[in-house]
Parts: sequence; structure tokens; C-alpha cells
Amino acid sequence: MPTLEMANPAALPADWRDFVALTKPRVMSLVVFSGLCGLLVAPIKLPFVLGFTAILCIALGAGACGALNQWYEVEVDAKMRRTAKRPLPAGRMDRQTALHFGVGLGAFSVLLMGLATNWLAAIMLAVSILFYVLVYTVWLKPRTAQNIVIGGAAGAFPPLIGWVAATNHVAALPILLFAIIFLWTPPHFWALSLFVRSDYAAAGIPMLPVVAGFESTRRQILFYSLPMAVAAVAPWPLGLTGAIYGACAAVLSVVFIVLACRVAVNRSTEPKDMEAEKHLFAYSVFYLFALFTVLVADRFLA
Amino acid sequence: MTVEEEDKGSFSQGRWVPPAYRWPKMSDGELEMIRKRQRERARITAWLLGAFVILFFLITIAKTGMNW
Repeated sequence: MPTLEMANPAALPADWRDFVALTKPRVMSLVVFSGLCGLLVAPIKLPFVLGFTAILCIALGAGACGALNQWYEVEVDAKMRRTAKRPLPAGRMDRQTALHFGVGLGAFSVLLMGLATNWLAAIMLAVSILFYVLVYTVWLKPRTAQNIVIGGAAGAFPPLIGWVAATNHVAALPILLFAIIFLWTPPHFWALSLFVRSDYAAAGIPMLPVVAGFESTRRQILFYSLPMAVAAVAPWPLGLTGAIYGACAAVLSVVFIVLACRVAVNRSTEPKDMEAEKHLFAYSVFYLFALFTVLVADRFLA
Repeated sequence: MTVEEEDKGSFSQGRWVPPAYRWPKMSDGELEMIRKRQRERARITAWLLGAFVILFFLITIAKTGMNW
């Protein structure tokens, strides 16, 4: 892509790649995957086109969340190394465009979900977008160290939406899937925020390591990992899944807890000595992918 | 137009006529970049619109088949 120095880069029409970056594609991949798993484990099978549309709507909704989050947090993003190169803080796009894109994408995804599947799924999608933008981004994130705990609910919606899109009702298994992601979010994000603490501190975001310190955060990572493991294994004893899922969930969760214990006993305050935290962060992403893959495999093998 | 001659708006028949909007001066390279991005975005928008028309058509067929 040719580059050109302009006095005001925002005067240029934004590049289409910047619109893609605005939707946070990497976050979207996990959201789409968990939504797809919710859809696949549902007892009612949708025609392919409707299933595809449901997942597309979840992806578009996640994209809207990313765009509106970046629209609101442009000043904060400019202060953090990790986010300073995003289209808005880098000046490659003006805020108004990002706002229009986010609102348009969100409204379109909800409308399409309602028309293609059912309105309960569409309402849930709308609630998850509004929860992420208004409750998490605007209200909790700049105010409380518990932002991730409550805000995690927004990221936990996709499997529930996937299930409801197929069945038009809520059941125990999707609620447990919601609980797994809800309880998984704090250890996942706190592991990351431990080794990028200085970034969050510079941006003035009250993440737990900034407000409560390293030791307290490490304790709480372990504290949340235990109920997460229980929620992950629970579908098996409750008779909602088979033994394949139960065994795999148990093994995956034990490894998660071992890594969380390593984090809990680490006393380092320097990011370069935080191997345990980096391992837990990387494993937490793998954990969720593996857990949901096994869940779908178990459903198809049963 | 010099600074002295710069359009600062005027009154005409008792009404305020604001200065005409003047686009910032741009080099040929900048104009070319703007046109290139506009073309790219127009092309992608057209493809997306086409894809959504087909998707809506397929959704209608699928829902009709399900007797919804």
C-alpha cells in the first residue's frame, strides 16, 4: 500500500483495511467460534443459510462492539503502546466515520438476526452489544477494577445467542456455556494486564493490577479459575454432555488451574520475568477453543 | 487571493453571505490517493451489497421451506 505524508491524514477517506481493523478481527474470531459452538450443540438444526446468517450476525455485532469501543476510547488508545496504531488514534480515520460504522453495523446485525432466525436471538444480540458498549466501555471500564468481571458478561453471550438462534428458547447447557466464558474472562484478562500493567497505568484505566497490585491480582486469578473449572466440567455430571467432554474438560481445567497456581506463586513485578502470566494468557485462549471444540465433537459423536 | 483579498463573507441585500468553502490545496499524489481509496471502497461496497441481496434471497427460500 503506498504511503503518503499528509498534513491531516483524517482528511483522506479511510482505507477499507482500517474498517476491518476497527472490528477487532482477532477478538471476533473467538466470539464467532463460541457462537458457532452454541449453534452446533443445539438440539434443533437450522438450514445452512440460516445458521450461516446467525453466525454472520454475531460476527457483525462483535464488529460493531469493536468499532464503538474504539470510537469511545480513542484518547485512551493513543496512550497505550498496544493500541496506539489503531486507525483512530493513528489519525487514519475520523471519529464520526467510526461511530456511523459501528452503529450501522450493530443495527444491521440485530435486524438481520431477527429476520433470519428469531427475535429472541436478535434481542439478546442487541442486549450484548449495548452491554458491551454502554455498561462495559462507557460505565465500568474507566471507573472500577471489577470492569472485566461484570463486563465479561458481554463476551459470554455468543454461545447463548447461537443456541437461541437455533431453538428460540434458553436451556441449561447454553447458560453453563455463558458461565464458563463469564468466569474465564477475569483470569484471561488479568493475566494479560499483569504484564502490560504499565500501559494500563499510563492510560489511567483502573485494571486490577494497577489498583490492587500484583499479589492481589494473582490471588484473584486463581480464585476465579476454580469456579471456572467447576462450570467447565459441570455439563457432564448434569447429563448435558457425554463422558468424552467430561474427561477432556477435566484435563484442560486441571492444566488451567496448575498454570493459575504458578501465577499465584510468582512474585515478579517485571514483565520480562512474567513467563507464568504469559503462559496462562496463551493457554487460556487455547483452553476455550479446545473446550468448545470438544463440546461439539462430543455432541456429534454421542 | 492574498490575505487582504481573502473572502471573509459579506452582506448582500441585508443577509449575511458566508465565505465560500475552499478545499485545502492538495498535491496530485494526494488526489490520486483519495481517488484510489474511493474506488476501492466503492468496489467493496458494491460486492457486499450484491452478497447481501443474494443472502436475503437465500434466507427467504430457506424460511419459506421451513413454513415460517
